[in-house]
Amino acid sequence: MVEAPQDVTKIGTLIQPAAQLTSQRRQTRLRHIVLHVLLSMGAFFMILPFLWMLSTSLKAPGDVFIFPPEWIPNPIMWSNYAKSWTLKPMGLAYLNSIKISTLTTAGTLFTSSLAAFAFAKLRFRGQHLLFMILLATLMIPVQVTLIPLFILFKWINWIDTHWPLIVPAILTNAYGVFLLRQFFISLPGELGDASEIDGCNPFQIYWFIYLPLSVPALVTLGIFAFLYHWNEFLLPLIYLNSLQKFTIPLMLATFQGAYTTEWELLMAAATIALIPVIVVYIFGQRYFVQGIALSGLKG
Amino acid sequence: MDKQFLSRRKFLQWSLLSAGTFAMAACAGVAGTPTAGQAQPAAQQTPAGQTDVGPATGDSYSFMTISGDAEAPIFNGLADTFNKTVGGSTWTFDRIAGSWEDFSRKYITEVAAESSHDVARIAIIQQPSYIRNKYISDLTPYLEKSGLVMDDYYKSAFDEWTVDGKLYGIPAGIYNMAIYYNKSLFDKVGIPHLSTDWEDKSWNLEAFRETARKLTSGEGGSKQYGFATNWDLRWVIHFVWAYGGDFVNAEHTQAILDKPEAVQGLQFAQDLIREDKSWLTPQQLSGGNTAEAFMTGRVGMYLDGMWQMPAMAKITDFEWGVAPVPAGTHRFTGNYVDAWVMPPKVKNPDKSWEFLKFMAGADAQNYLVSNSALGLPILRSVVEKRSADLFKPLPPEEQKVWINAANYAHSFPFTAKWDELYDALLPSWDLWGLGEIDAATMAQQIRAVVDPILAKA
Repeated sequence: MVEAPQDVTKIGTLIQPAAQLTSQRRQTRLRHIVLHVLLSMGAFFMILPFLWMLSTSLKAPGDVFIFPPEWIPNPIMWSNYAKSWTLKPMGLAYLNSIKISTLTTAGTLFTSSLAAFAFAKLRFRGQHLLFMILLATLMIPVQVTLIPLFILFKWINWIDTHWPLIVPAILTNAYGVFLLRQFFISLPGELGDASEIDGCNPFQIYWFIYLPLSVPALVTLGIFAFLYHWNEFLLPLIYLNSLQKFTIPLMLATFQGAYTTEWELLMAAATIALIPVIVVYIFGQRYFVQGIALSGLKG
Repeated sequence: MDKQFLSRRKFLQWSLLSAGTFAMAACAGVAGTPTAGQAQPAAQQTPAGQTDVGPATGDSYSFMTISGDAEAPIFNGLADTFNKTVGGSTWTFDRIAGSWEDFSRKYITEVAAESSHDVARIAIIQQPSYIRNKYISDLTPYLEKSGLVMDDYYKSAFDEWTVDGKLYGIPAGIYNMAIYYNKSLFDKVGIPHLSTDWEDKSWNLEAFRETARKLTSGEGGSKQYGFATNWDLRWVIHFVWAYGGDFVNAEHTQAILDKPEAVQGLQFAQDLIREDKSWLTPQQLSGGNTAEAFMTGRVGMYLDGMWQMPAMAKITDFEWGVAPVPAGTHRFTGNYVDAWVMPPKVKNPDKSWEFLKFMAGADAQNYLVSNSALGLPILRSVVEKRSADLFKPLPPEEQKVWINAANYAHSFPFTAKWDELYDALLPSWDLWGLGEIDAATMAQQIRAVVDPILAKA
């Protein structure tokens, strides 16, 4: 039996971890490839409806349900976009939706953060009970309050105005309060204590100390609120009568008639309607994941 | 952390931007159509072809329904015609966006809040539950006082809206079904064009099956099918009716789809699908639209309603025509009659009735014909005088297919719990369509789930 020279054994012990490392790297790379393939497949299926919408928006009326389906339309009907925009007051609907979504989002951020700050950082009698009651309101479906609210808004002559879509949304976002409260709780209380010693009142502590530190959570809530109000269909349907007051989802629904639907125009208009949503998400996405993670909430 | 700081400058920038948007939107939205109970401005052309009414006279009222872009100007025009010809009150039309289901949500909320529009058009499918829940008013007392000559109206249309001797709606038009067919394909295959006479018994189920078989050719994605219709009981039931069967009994208390005559009709449909393979089913359509399949030349014959006429009129690639549904031991076409109704507790029922009466009158019916509204007018005299103006671009003998269809109308038995009932029957219906169960088994399964629902309704 011949003993291996000592230096060769040393080399072996040095080589072995290197080989193990390469193997581990290969495994990791393989895992990443598999993961990316799976994620790409998931992303493909998620984006498929969007691609169908885009493809349909460029088709001629008779080609929408042609079999087998044509993903790249022939001819490409760019005119569908111009037609869908001019056929009805889409510009006005766009403006109405921007107005309602922007106001409700800004209002929601302000009122929700105020309430969340109070629940997270102030101490007052009945605090937990009030918070539980607030959370309980999340369980009431909108359909339950539809008729009482309709009667209320009729009394104050708000039917066929945008106010029923803006005011309640600003004042009653329990989800927003919950999300921001979770975030405020994660911020150190000492910041508030120090500010109080320096002479700040509670509103100043909220405004100058905690709010600036809450941008990720505020952006998260802002995106949620904007998307929700941009896509809201039921309440505008109930409260609005005049075509000139219609929001984007309502105007899109007018492409559907009693017996027929103009699919290619509907899809062109829906594609145009998506633009603000994509813009808001692109600008806010940097904070979005951070906000979700820090507030401990997932969609 | 500095990047996350919301500076006062940024806050002010965003505030100004929001305020600017608000101001722009507020300025843009001021030209709104007046709502119920509000005074009217002078006549003006609004976007989407809406025509506002002329100078205000008396109180303001409004009516609503869902409508497409083609229908909305017609309804505005009807309001305009009323304001000019009847006067005494000013009517406007509110267009409701979305489906009938969406419309129903809005209608019911308004009724519950006692803040309804003064008149609304509803679909026949909604009628049983609306009557049961008292969402629509009984019009019989108004009709009795009105002096309307009922002999001039299609009885089948008013029968649809007369329940337990009470009239609940003024029919908005008569909608029946017939066979659309591809004349160019018939010529190519060497089949004579179809009869336009509803009395012609040679156009029967056997002839229909043979024609569908001859029109079927090819395989796979490019296969040409002889026949297609919507995979829905409301369409397929025509074969059940042709054999003398029906879906539920006259009292709407029991499903009778398992009766031998009904099963025969279902078996006929199944034979077209399974044996002849001449029926384009949803399975082969892969989620596509049946009407589009006909319009793109993939199907030789297509059973559907006259509401498809505007879509068919766009066909340029081949010649097409309309023929009666084939005869069996019976010959019926579905009668789908939407109606103008008066919601309960409207602010002035007499004014609402005045508008409803106008809708049933010659002025409104002629207006609808002149503006290519869908459906057959409910006044026989208008149909007789204006038959040449109806159902364009069909040739005169095929216009008569639609006109005479009203004489073969058969109600579809909608019930108060139709949605629940339809959801319950779908699993068996689809299994039958897929060939997993036969017609008799499907009919028995449907009866088992439908009867308890009918008992509750």
